[in-house]
Amino acid sequence: MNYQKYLKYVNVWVLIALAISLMGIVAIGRCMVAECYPPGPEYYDHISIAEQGDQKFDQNIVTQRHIYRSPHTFIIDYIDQSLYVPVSMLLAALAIWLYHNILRRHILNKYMTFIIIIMTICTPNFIQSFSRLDKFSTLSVLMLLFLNVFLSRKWPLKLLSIVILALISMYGVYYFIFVSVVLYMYSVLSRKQTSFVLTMLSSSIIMLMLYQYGFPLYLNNLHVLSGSVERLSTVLYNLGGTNGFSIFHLILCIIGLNFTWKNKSRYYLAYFIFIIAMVMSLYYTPDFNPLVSFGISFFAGVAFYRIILMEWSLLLIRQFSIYIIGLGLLFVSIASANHIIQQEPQASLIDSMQFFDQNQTILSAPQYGSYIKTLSGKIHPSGNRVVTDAYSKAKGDIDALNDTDTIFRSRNLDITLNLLKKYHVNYILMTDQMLNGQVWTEKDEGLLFLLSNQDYFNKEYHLDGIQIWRVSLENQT
Amino acid sequence: MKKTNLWLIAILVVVLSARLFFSVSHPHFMPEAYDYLVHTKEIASSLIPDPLKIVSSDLYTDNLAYNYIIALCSHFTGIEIASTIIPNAFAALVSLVCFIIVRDLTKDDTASLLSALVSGFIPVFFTETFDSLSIYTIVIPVFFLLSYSFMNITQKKHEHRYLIFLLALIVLHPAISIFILSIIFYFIILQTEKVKLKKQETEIIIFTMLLYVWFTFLIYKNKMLLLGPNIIWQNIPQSVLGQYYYGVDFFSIIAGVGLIPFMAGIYMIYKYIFRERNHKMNFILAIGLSVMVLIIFNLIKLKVGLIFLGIIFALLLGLFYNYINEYISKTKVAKYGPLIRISIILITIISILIVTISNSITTLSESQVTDMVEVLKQSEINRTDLVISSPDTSNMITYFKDSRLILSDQYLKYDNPDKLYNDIEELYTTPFIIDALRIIRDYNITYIMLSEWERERFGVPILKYSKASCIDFSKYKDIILYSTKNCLENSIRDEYRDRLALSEIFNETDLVLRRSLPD
Repeated sequence: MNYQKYLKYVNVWVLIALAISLMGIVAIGRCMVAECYPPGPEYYDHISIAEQGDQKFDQNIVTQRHIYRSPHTFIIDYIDQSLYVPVSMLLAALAIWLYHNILRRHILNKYMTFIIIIMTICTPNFIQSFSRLDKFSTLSVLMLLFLNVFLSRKWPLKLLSIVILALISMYGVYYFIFVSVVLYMYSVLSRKQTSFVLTMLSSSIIMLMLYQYGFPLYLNNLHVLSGSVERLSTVLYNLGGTNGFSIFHLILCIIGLNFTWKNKSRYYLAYFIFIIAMVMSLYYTPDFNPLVSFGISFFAGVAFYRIILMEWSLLLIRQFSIYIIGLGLLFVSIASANHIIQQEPQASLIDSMQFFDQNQTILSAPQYGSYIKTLSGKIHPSGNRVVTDAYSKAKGDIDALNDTDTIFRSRNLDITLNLLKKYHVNYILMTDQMLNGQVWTEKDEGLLFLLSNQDYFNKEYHLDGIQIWRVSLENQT
Repeated sequence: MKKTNLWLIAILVVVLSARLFFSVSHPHFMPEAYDYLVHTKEIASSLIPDPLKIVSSDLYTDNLAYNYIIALCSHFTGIEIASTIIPNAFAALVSLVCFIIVRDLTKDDTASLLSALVSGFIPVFFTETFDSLSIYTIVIPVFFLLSYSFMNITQKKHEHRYLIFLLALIVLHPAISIFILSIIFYFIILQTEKVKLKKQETEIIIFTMLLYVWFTFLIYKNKMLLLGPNIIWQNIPQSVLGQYYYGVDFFSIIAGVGLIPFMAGIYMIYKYIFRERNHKMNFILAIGLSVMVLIIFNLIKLKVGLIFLGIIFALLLGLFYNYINEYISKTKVAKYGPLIRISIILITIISILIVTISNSITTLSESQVTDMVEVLKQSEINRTDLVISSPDTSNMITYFKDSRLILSDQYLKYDNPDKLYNDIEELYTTPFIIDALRIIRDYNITYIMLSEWERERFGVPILKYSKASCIDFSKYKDIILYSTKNCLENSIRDEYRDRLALSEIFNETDLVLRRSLPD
């Protein structure tokens, strides 16, 4: 096959158009199944925080945990829900333009750059981050912007990198640590003294500011993953890790590492980002998966480029290999997009939120907490609270999680009622997924058995797989 | 026609005849065959394959490709004849494949013919596949043809063959994973010997890895998302894993592959690891190593692993014969060469045949399949009934009676096989009627089968609660069929009556709660 005729399309605008098209497809899918509501819990968590103004403690969760605001929260606050699609497209385009800039200026020829960015766009992390408008979308743009200005030869731009690093640190101290470690190692190994000095200076300033104004530590977010199986399932998208990367990219990455090992000095920055992010992801928090994904797609792109350029002795095998890589990318992209489209909140959950009045406490599985606290009620903000949400585990609400688990699993009426009273629960929301394996697997398991007691539990809503039960604790003696 | 080819044809005929002889001497298939028969029957019921069925079927757990081959042939011969002849014909092809490989390695026709004959009568391969419609009858020849093409990939003609066999194996069975692991071990062996991969080998490995990853994840994507890492152990319930993978020891390997091939194979492995380097042999050793690793880590069944090892040892036997032949011709006993060669051949063949034939006769005579079929034919089980049995025999019951089943041994099809298996185990082992009734009512069980399979699996001679008033039974030789229909119709205890009443109050489609309570 003659690829020469396609070379004229190798430019950054084609890449931006591809990314925007992908975001567009996801947005259209969401509108068809979920009334155009953004997918994933993070967007709603940020909305909930933004609606609370200057509050230090989250009023929409019964444990009233401390609120940490990142620059992303402020961005979400200023964006109307109807604009989330254009904003996500804009951020995706910006990220690609910045990434393209870095690769072209500092490392690679335009064809390798093109392929690497195609690989990046087709990763589950990229599609998820930018279509859900989660914190990684703005964090990725900031990190790419930081690298652009840090690697620039112009001093005013280099100094600007200090400001950007400060913004990155507001997302969490471990992002700051990550960037600092990468830059230190890059500066030392590439023997660029000015970069080293700048890194020292900026790190010192940031550390001083953090010390002075308080660490946005997110230390509770650092949960050490126990067991290799659990780790594997969080980092591999194909094994259910919602924030993971594709094993297809991983295989290509291994091939790419093999190709680049002899000239690794040329790719130091990519190696450091990949290795350090991988270590952080496997041992501390899956929040680093998007950064690992950048590293993986970089080496996967190098592998694909080299596979195309290689002189093959088996021409038929070469042809098929290129087709398979192309089909593999397509498959991963479609699967990721479909996964996002099918994510909660779906139309049935959104419609059920209209049932609630204001100032109610609602118990449900943690996965639904962020949606309930933001979307519930006939007017917004409704002041409704949840017992747990998707971030309870990461933010240390272990007692609430354990109590929720006890409520769901216990058949002891007294224990259950006492816990419901402890959290002042007014309603229990159940979905079909919760009944079919997410929480319960049998008919009369745990709380389901107790729901037959009409003195305390009454079903008041049941439509399209969503059940809402009112809890009446006045009768408890 | 060359003499060698005539001998080869004769060997194929002998192997096929022996297999068919043992297969038809038993009126019914082994229980493992009925899973394939159930699906083949469905597919064969219409001339044109139902596209919806293809789309909704699971390529691997439904053995779609294999079932379609048999279903296609069954249009000409009938399903039972096709199910007897086709798998045995595929299995006989293993002899042809071994002949081709050994001749390529040794250029010795006699060694190749010996290997072909022995491979056709490997004890574990013969006894496990002659009457069980096993998919390994086609997987093994395709696997080793693929390996042969890989070993000769530097020759242009093998490029297309490799593609064809690779696609065939990928579509047929997850045994492609063994091939991928063999490639990895092959790479490691070459690294330890400081030998570089040939250019063509590098290219083919890259392509194979990419195709494997893409295709496997395409097929298993939903299962992976549902089951997570359990898919690596084929979603087998924890209670059953220990029975599948009960460890490996030399005696089981010797019994499975034959004493002479085992001894010859061990010597050749020693020779090619420590004394002689051979690029193609490295791949055969890599296959053996990968199978051993999978057996040790309980990732494949012991019997499946022994089938692969048996074929490898048959190949190594051919190489051993060639080595002995060359060695003898250089020694003082060279004049006795023909006598020694004939002796080796005869001892090998006789020892293998004795073991294989005796194992096959034992398998047939000890089987309760005929009794089970007789019980099923005499029973009143129909399509609406649910019969509980060991997962090994549930498909047999479904085939003969078209009844429903809870769990078969294709565990990948089920979302929660642990719970299902534990419930079945409790049903057989509990001494309490209340516990049994709970399970009977939960699943609407109408019959419980108790045969040698259930006794062996659950360790119970009879059901301890079988004297309950709602349970009837019928007995044929050692097989007991319990009827629990009455247990479903009568009200049993207040606890269950009240719970049943409460569950009937809440009509799942109503928005408004009904407040009336039962009397």
